[in-house]
Amino acid sequence: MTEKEKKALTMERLLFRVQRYEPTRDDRPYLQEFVIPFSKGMTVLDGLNYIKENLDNTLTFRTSCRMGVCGSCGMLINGFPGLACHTPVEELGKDVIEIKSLPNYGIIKDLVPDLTPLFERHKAIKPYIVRSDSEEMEEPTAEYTQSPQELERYLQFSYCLKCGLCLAACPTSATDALFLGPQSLAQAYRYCADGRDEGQKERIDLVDSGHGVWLCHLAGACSEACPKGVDPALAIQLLKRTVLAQTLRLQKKKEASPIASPPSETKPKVPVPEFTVKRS
Amino acid sequence: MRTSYFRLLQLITGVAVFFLIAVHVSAIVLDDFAGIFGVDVEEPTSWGSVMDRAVSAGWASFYILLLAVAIYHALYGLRVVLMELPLPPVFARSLNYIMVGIGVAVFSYGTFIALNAYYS
Repeated sequence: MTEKEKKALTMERLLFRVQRYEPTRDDRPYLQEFVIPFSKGMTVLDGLNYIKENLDNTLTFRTSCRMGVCGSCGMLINGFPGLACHTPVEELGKDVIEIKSLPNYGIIKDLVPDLTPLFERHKAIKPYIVRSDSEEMEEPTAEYTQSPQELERYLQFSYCLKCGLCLAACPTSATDALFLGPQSLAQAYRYCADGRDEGQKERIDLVDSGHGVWLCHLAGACSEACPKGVDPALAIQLLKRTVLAQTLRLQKKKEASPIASPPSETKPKVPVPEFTVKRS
Repeated sequence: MRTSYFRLLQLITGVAVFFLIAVHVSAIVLDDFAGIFGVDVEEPTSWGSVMDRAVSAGWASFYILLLAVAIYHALYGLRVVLMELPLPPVFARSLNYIMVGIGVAVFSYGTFIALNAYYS
């Protein structure tokens, strides 16, 4: 960037330093600079969209919902993992914004991380209700009962988007490629804490290993990075407690919640009101 | 064997090392402390005092126990640290055997010295 361009940078203009990488062409990732106009309330994703629409349509990044729900646009923004759609540029407090692909993942292209390790580990911990009554699971006749207190035990951990920011922020994942990572460990706890589940033993067999739950050093970077306020570090500590309780046989035998009994009485259906406007 | 057993043992030996070292340091530093255990010393670090402790069955057992828990705690801790490094797979696989080998060798040597002194 020239001196003239530097002087032109005020909060009316932003300098986006964006990582570019085409694996079939480039030896290593490099940063490309774009100067874009600032508008009130714009997010990092708005800036990237502006670049793609007006400056360089070869720039590649994932995006979908634009409202922090889908978890597609996870990136390293000024050194911190975050969702591009959830990061207003004003909050960054700088007119130079450096955007890179998420660390601890491979790069497919430019800002698109290869999230395969995240999904593989998530799949490995059986992220679903495991029950012994397979007939009921196949052909459900009613709901499994669950009290509000039972729901409270895992509710916050069920808000996980699978955006992968926690794994990108985790220092243990950075040093040990085989570490299960905060996302899958938190989800392991989420299902172990679910009163309807009976798969705790299978999950604990997996997480109680050399690259499992005990490798977490409680840095807390995962909880800080999570855009939905989920606290994976807390879930991992609770999972450690669960594992230890099971190892020492201190845990009460968990009875999976039963099927809800059919209602003893049913209210009569409310009659459909008459049409107020005559139908022709 | 599950990792949680080793981790639990790591915690237990950590606490044990804390208290056993406290006793050891107290015996070395505090002249009057050893007297509680029946060892009459003038200078705890003198040859005579060291040998007095060495021929006492209680102190010999104490030092063998301290050696065992310290070796486990130190080597398992070191193994955990080393396992987080990007080691070559061959070295990572053989790390357990290396640690067990070092532990057995150090424990055998330390126990031999303690027993040798006890029976001298």
